[in-house]
Amino acid sequence: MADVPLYVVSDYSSSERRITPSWSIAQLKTKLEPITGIPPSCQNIFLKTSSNEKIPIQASDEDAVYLQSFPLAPYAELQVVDTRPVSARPNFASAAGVEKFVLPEEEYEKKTDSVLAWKKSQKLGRFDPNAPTLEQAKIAAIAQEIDARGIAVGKRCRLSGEDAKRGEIKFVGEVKEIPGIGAWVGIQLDEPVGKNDGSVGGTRYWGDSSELKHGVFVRPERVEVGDYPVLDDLEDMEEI
Amino acid sequence: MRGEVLHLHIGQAGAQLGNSAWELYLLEHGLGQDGRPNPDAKDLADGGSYDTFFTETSNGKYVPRSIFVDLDPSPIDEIRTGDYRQLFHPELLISGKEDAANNYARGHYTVGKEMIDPVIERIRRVADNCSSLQGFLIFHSFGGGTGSGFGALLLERLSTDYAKKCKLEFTVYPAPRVSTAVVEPYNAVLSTHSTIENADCTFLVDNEAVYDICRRNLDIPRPSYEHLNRLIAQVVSSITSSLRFDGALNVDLNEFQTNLVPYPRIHYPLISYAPVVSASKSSHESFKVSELTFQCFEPNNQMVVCDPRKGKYMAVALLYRGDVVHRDCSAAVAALKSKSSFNLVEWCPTGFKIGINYQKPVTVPAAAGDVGLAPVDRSVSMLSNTTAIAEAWSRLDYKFDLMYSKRAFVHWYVGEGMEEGEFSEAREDLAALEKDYEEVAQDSTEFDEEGAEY
Repeated sequence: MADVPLYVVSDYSSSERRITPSWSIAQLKTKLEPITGIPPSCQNIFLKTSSNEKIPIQASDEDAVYLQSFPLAPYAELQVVDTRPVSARPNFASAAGVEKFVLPEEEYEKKTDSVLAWKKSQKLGRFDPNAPTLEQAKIAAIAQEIDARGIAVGKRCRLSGEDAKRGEIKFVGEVKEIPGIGAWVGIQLDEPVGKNDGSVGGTRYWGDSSELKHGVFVRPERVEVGDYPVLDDLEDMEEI
Repeated sequence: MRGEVLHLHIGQAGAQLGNSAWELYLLEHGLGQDGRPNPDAKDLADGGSYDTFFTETSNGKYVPRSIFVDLDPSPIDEIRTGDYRQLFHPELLISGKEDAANNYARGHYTVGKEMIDPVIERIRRVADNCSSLQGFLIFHSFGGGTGSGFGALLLERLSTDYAKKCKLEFTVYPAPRVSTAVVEPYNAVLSTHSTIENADCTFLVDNEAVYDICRRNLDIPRPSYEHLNRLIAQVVSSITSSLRFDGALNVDLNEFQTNLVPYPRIHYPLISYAPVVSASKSSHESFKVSELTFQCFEPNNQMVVCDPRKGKYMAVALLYRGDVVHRDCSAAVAALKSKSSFNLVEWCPTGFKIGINYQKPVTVPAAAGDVGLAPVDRSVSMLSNTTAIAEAWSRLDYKFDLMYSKRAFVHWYVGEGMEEGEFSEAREDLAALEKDYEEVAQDSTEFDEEGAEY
């Protein structure tokens, strides 16, 4: 008789296994020990059939009863239950008191076959004497983003995000009043759903003072330049 | 002729992955289950180049250049009596008498030691018959005893005997939630430690990730290993399709290593595939090149559970198949690079690689009443080396710690002649690997203020 694929499920394992019907119950239990971690003497095995019946796989003489005497159907489930009291079972799910081993920094630095050692010897990343500092690199990356996206004063645009707010680009450049180096894009939104009126921290970047918050400053990666005309919300209203 | 490739299928998972891979190769090359050209094979512009994967016999039969090994006799016996019994060379189906009982030490030391010489001898015989052997594809799992232990032992031998040949692995990686066996974390950590220096590139798949992809996209309520393996086989086939079929941009086996691996230890790319869709849904979808490309980057299409948005890419290879033009691929890549969620490690000497192969993807027809992948005109497999996979290593390492702190089951390994010191040595090596990934991710510019507004 050919092997039957069955799902073997226990507290700490779940897998599809080929089960040989000519095995005795005792043989099965020996095979299941390294899979489930449960010693054979503490295993209670049930076969779950498609009709959700739970047939216990047990016998008075487990060396003499073979699996073929049970209705093994492909992809049925074998449940392996640990009969030991909870306190006597090992618990591998609980993280209590177990700290993850992390290699100490000084140990890692001593290694010769590590990415760190390679970067040092090849002068890569921060070990490259010609590499721009992180600040310079960031300013350059933002400038490149502005270029790639065709961001320029006077263009219409849309912001990424769920509401996809639309507006016109009014300012591109550094804004010393906002934390973070590199250029910002100032946008006059069509709707007053921004953060300011074109001025921030007392410096006016565009427009006139207003109660309405049409202005917003964002990083270029959120700005999509294109043909995004002003949306007329009333148009939708008429249809309703 | 680009040089022969030898497939090695180790342990039950390796053998089952092998079955699915060869089932697909046969269809792609228009061969029947016995390795003879199938007169009913349809839609094949050309059968491709057979000699990378097959040896042709004098009577017109193509024999796979593959060796199946399991310490447990039953998975190999199944091939010997199954649908493909006429296909494989009987001498290249090697089984032991005693299984490895999910124990790395049995596969690597006690039981494996007795099997290794005959296996190496068969490999030598196959290699000697090649005109220019290009390399090995090794299929195994990290969790099983044969896969982890014997797989590692075999790689050690291959790296001394065939130092210059390329060795790529396809490895079933422990899933995040449920282990296939309670000692799986031990086996995986021990196996990684002893293979890390001997494999050039290791493609990882975890069954839970692939299971979820199948369940979600193919509407299979409870996918079996066969469903998972057929999906993985598509990626396996894409990787080697340029060795077998014509294309605009061919990618050589060695190139995977040069393009994907910046530093030898960091050789565990993540893989994904698109489209994964069932026949009943496929008529409603468009499958444009850009759409397929984006799908490959979706977190829940990755074949190891991890979030690529949290990591940085060192290198990406996109392998397109079928009705695809280069312009569309370049456009898709450009669009991708402009996304803010896409972070590339700038200082890394690796980058983007595109492969295009004109042979249409072939799918294995599903059995009656079953669901399979829909036949499509184009597909893409992505191999990406990203620091996001460190999440999976970290998870595995902690599972190891939970058991090892109690020294649980360690006696099973020591009983097979393993020294306990190997546990801590292996675990330390993996801790260093986690540090390696951290170090890769450092020194990059980051937009950590994403979404900021003022």
